[in-house]
Amino acid sequence: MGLIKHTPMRLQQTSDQDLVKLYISGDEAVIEELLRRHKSKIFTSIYLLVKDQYLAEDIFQDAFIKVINTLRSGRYNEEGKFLPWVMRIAHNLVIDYFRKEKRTPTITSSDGTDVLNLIQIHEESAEERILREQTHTDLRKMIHHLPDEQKEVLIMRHYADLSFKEIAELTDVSINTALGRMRYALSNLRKMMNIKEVSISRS
Amino acid sequence: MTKTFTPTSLKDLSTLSTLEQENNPDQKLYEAIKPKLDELYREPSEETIAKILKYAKKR
Repeated sequence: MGLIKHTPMRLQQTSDQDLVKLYISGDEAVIEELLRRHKSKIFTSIYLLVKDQYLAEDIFQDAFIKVINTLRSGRYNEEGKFLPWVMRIAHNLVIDYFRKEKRTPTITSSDGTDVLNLIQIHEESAEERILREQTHTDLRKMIHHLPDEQKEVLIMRHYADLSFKEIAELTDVSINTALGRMRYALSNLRKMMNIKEVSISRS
Repeated sequence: MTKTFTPTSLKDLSTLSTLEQENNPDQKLYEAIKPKLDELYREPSEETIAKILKYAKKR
């Protein structure tokens, strides 16, 4: 985070589309602002799909290298929005990975400790920390137990901040189907939370 | 039983009146779960960011 937190104010107030134009015209520094703006959304989305920190890092990096190569080659379609475009690239890389691995992006348990180590904890008792970590682990597992199509929509909507129209285009379904999947995802999450007795309100 | 689903943006709560929120269980559910979902946000490592920046600046 420290690497890119000091982007100039003029860039912070520039639209994604204009930043892209600036990069294409040779202003290389603007990639920092695009990263600062979207890295969390894109990385979290990838991570929740692949459920592996190192793999998510690789896919995130590959996605941005494809982005940079496309911008440099002049093949970027300016009609599209930047974030949905990057998410489409990342999504395709995730699909490619699972195809190559000949497995589906589902379930299994185990991980959970690495993310927790990255979170800074302030003035929190050991008991509170353990409870919070357990809640995060439970929630990640619940998301991973959702049917793939519901998990995909939930991640793209909440973490990647894509519109239902953009999600529908990316996943080749109608907007109503995407909306329905989101509704079922939330409903299923709530059911799992009730079973697990995970509080959905802030403590 | 088929239930009608109102295609309201689940994130667009600010435009909904209280009455509309009460009548939109999907929106209410999303708002209830949202804080927990937000806790799962995470960042790529600085090493990954550094590699991307290095690549971006190499013409």
